[in-house]
Amino acid sequence: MASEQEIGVKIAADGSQATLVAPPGLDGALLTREMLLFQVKAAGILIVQEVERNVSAFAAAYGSGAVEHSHIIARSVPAVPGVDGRVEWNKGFDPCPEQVPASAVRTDHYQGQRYVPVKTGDIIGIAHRPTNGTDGRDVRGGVIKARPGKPVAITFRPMLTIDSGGRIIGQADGVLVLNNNELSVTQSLDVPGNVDFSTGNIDFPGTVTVAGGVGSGFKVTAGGDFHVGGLIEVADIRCGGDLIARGGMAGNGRGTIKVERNVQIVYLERVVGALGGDLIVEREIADCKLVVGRDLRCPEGTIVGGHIAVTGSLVVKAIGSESYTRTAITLGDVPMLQGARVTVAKTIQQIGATLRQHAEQARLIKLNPRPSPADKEKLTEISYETSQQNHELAKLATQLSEIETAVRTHRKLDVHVARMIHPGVKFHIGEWVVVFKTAAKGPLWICWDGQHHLMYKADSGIARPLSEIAQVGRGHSAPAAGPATATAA
Amino acid sequence: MRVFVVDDSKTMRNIVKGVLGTIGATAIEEAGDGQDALSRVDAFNPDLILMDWNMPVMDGMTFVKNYRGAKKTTPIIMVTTEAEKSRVMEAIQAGVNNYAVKPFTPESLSKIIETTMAKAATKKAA
Repeated sequence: MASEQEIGVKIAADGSQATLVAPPGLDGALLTREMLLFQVKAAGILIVQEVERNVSAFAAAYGSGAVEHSHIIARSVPAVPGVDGRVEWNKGFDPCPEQVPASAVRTDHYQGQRYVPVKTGDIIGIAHRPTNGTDGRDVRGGVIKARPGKPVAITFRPMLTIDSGGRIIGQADGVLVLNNNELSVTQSLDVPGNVDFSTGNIDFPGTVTVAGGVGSGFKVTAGGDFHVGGLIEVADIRCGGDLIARGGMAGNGRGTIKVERNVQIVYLERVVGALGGDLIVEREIADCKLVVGRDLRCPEGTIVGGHIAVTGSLVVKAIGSESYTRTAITLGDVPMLQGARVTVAKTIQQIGATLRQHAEQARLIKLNPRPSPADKEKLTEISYETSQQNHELAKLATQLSEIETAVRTHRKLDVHVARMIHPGVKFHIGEWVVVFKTAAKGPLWICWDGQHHLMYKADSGIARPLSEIAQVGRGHSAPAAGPATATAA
Repeated sequence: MRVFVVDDSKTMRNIVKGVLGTIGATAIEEAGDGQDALSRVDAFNPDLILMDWNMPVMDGMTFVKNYRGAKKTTPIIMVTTEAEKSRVMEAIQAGVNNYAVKPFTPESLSKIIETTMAKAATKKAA
């Protein structure tokens, strides 16, 4: 005969499962579902549908009771741990991208960009919050607490915001930097070594600082200042602020600079370029083609070879060399405006040619005493075109006049040579060409007098005609020395 | 000022639009023939119509007759190479308000437009 005391419920120590045990020899007819559920409940098991189902199955399976019967009738529901917070980077914004394995695909390694530029408003990624997870329960109904996910390990600095949707938004132009789990946008780009294949070309909207040099074939474009610690080789340097170089630049005739403001450098050798501000050179400017928007100061150095156009003052220790190196300097002009002046003048010429063409076309049509409707329409077209071109011509004439006025206002002749102007040096000053056939010893100051005559002053301080120390003659004004695209002014 | 320009020549339409741009037209609609113009003119509701005479599908004179036949009073300037007096009279009788003979200069067309609009305003005020 079945006895309630003989039926046991074993519960695992961690409450993860409960096993119902019935010894052999019990009366199967008395081993009912209800009796078993009573036993199970008495043992402290939470009765849920699954438990009821398992108990029913247990009762049915006991049968004649020939052997001991045991069966798991309850299991715990495990807790589901929370998911850790994470950042899902948008394409191109992963600050620590995985290295792409070398492939057979051809790549321009000069273009390889090893930093992540960010613009204001860029959505860098999504910061996913951690989840709390779902609690579980043991067989007695006790709560098994879920482990909540860990928050994102990265902290975001002020130049990044996170909106309600978790979007990480850049608040400034700069470079994305992840350092010690701090994500920030820095507005200056620091390159710890050289600009070479490890960095690729640099194109950055703010200040760029390169601890080393810039290798041949590379291009650095900085929206702000560009500081460089080492040698600049045959590179292309463009910068919206100042270029401060602690070394020199050896351009080999192909290295170029285009700087909106000042350049401070140790030496320039075979460099082509233009700058809007002052050029300060410590040692030497050798065989360069440069347009300087303001003053050129090289008080301890020499200008040898090449062609330099200077808008403001020129202060230099020596010009040319004892070996008669041909050195040309354009002065007394505003070379930065020369490009615009030439462009406008050329357009005016083109319009003039078009107008003459129109006038001739109209004249030929009017030779016919009975012009056809097509002729009349053509005449209307010509008349309209002529009117349009005349409007354009008037605008350009005003523009040209403004440029000429600006040139007259800004041009300056102020040359200080401390030591020597060597033979072979040529100055282009407005319509004048000044050729030094013999050495002119410094200190010398070359300037205009009140009547715009070319004068010089030596030690005595008395102004003398420049023609006394150099051959002065009328000549064509020299072309701009640097790139025609120079726009800084 | 809203102006409807009707001419089969795109070049000529562009020229007229260029002139209109200098005299403060606020909206310009174009059509390449009289029939197209007739189907769209009411929707555009112009203050002035500049109409070429010789066009395919429907010429300018047929447009004028249809338009005036529908009791529409928007001023129309005929811009055409048709300079003979009899043709001008025919157009005026059909309801054209003014006449610009090609070839015209931008200045002369501007003046014709201004005169026409001034007359239309006076008539409206009266």
